[in-house]
Amino acid sequence: MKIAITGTPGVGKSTVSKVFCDIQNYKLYDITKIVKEKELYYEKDESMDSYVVNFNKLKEFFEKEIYSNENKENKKNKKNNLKNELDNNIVIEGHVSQHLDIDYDYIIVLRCEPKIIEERLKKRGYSENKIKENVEAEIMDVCLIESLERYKNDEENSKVHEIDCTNKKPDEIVKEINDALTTDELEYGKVSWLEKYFDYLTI
Amino acid sequence: MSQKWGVVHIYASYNNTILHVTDVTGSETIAKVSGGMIVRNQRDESSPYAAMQAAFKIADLIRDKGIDHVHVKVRGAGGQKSKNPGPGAQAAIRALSRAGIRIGRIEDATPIPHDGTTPKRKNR
Ligand SMILES: Nc1ncnc2c1ncn2[C@@H]1O[C@H](COP(=O)(O)OP(=O)(O)O)[C@@H](O)[C@H]1O
Ligand SMILES: [Mg+2]
Repeated sequence: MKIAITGTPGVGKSTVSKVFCDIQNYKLYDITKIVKEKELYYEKDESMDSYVVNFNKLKEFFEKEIYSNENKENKKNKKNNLKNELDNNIVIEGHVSQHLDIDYDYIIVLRCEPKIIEERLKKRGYSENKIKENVEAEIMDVCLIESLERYKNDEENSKVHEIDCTNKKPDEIVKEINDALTTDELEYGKVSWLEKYFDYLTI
Repeated sequence: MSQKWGVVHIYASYNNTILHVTDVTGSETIAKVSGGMIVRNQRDESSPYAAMQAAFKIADLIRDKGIDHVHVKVRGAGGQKSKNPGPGAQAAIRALSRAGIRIGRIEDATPIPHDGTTPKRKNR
């Protein structure tokens, strides 16, 4: 199973993904960390204080990872004379995971009250502009819309599941992810911040 | 005849489309219409139809105040890669134009999520 976990920075992706992977024994990939460590970027955009992701290189990285994982699984399974049906179980976590050209089985979009995200990003020491743009992105449903653009196909066949994480503990959120995966009952479109936070956008 | 300009800020989220017209400095609100004011069903607030109706309404409101030229600032994911704003936003711009409002610059001001990495470079 290949799962993407996306959402605005500060929404809780890394926290939730770690708990999920520990419990479910999935292998976890943090895109932000990988892009920086392996230098899979074009250059630094100083105005955003961020590296511009090179998605071709990032895709190559994952192809190698997934391929070699699958090989290992095959060898192990051959030894055990079992059919490789489980594939390899991975979570790819990051606010750009929906841009990656990978055939995810599911894409989980985490959401959170913009005010809470603002507080968390302040603690991270981001600049005022950087905080504001990320909070705006949450208000405008950017990660959700991008995920739907790529993974919706049609109403019946969506891979996208959205979870409002506001005031939930990480293990509650993980339980909701598990429930969605086991029942295959996915939903999105319930979160809507725009009317409530419109003033924030116009300041 | 003198031209009076305004700025139409289009906010196209998944569930809603809001049109907000300000003066050119962006500080004074001239009119605001949201998709929710147009359609009864909450599911339709972000539909191109709601956006179009909202745009017609905005056009009337601003013309009453003497504005018939606008620059457009769009915030809305969807079609970012193809450089197009979301369906609500496109419908709104077309409707403004059809209502006789002259469109000046169209700027994509969609916020880009970024931590220490970003999907694309800023080109503002
Ligand atoms: N469900 C939650 N409840 C309370 N705090 C949380 C929760 N999820 C994350 N946090 C806190 O919010 C901050 C940002 O979380 P993080 O997982 O780093 O977000 P992301 O990876 O999406 O940027 C961290 O300080 C983390 O401890
Ligand atoms: Mg993180």
